[in-house]
Amino acid sequence: MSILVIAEHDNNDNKSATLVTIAAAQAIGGDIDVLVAGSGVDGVASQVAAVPGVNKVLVADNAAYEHQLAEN
Amino acid sequence: MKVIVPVKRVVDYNVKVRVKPDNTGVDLSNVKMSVNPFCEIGIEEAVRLKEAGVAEEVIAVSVGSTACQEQLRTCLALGADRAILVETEADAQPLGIARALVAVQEREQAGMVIFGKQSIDGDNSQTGQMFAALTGMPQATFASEITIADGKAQVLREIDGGMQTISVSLPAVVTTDLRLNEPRYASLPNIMKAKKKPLDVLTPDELGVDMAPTVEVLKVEAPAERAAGIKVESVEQLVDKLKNEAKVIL
Repeated sequence: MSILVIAEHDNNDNKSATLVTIAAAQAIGGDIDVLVAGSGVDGVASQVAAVPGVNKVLVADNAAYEHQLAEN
Repeated sequence: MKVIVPVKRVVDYNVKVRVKPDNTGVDLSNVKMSVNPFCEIGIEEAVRLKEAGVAEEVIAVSVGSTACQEQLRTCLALGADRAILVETEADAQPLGIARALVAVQEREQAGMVIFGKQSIDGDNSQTGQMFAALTGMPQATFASEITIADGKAQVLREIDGGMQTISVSLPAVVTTDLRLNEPRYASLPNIMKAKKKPLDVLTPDELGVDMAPTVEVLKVEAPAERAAGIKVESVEQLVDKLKNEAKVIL
């Protein structure tokens, strides 16, 4: 089973909640992909990519995602 | 504008809850039940909107057993105009409740739906968000201030790092946080009047809603009891315990 983790971040830094979630996903097992949605999130994406156990990092970088509202 | 406020019947917040001996759930026999405090804040906000002339009608809706009528009457006494009960004896879960409320919203076409941010029994904080997703309405969760103007609601939200102000177009879903308002007490004349206000009872079948549970509760446990403290004999023993047992100093 593959697992998609949605990264918690503030557009600049990855938050520890993401690491907690990735660890939980690892405990379940399977391929772990992480979605980073935000604005100007290159830094966050590379931080997430460096986390052991992450298979693939998907990045959605657009000004619309800056405030990370539920609708988008 | 109509305002719908979904309310949940929960164990009163003053009651010390006990887990059933067989760990299947919380013991609800002879326990005082109340309106979920966050839903009460939602009712209060809707009534204030009505008093301010923004809303015309406040409808309290509950999904659950016949006993929920008691909580709906409380809402009517607090100022709601009428109430709807979607009656089901089955275990109502967030997705099922959200689906039932969507069916009610389709009938009523309310301009705003004010949920409590979460119930104090399930602590899920899911129904409002699920409802918003199912209806496609914009959501403003954890609101601590609502201002309505020009077909939009400006909502002050409580978030991790502080406050966030967002603007959503109506119809919208709002979930209340603790600081939105302080609910009033129902006056005796209003409690008497509430008995005459209309309370419609619907069933999920009438609404054409599938409320089958999707989550199964395997086990409910009380929090672990805290071990008793001990007295240490000397400073050395204290330091030793801090180092080796509590591991707070290295």
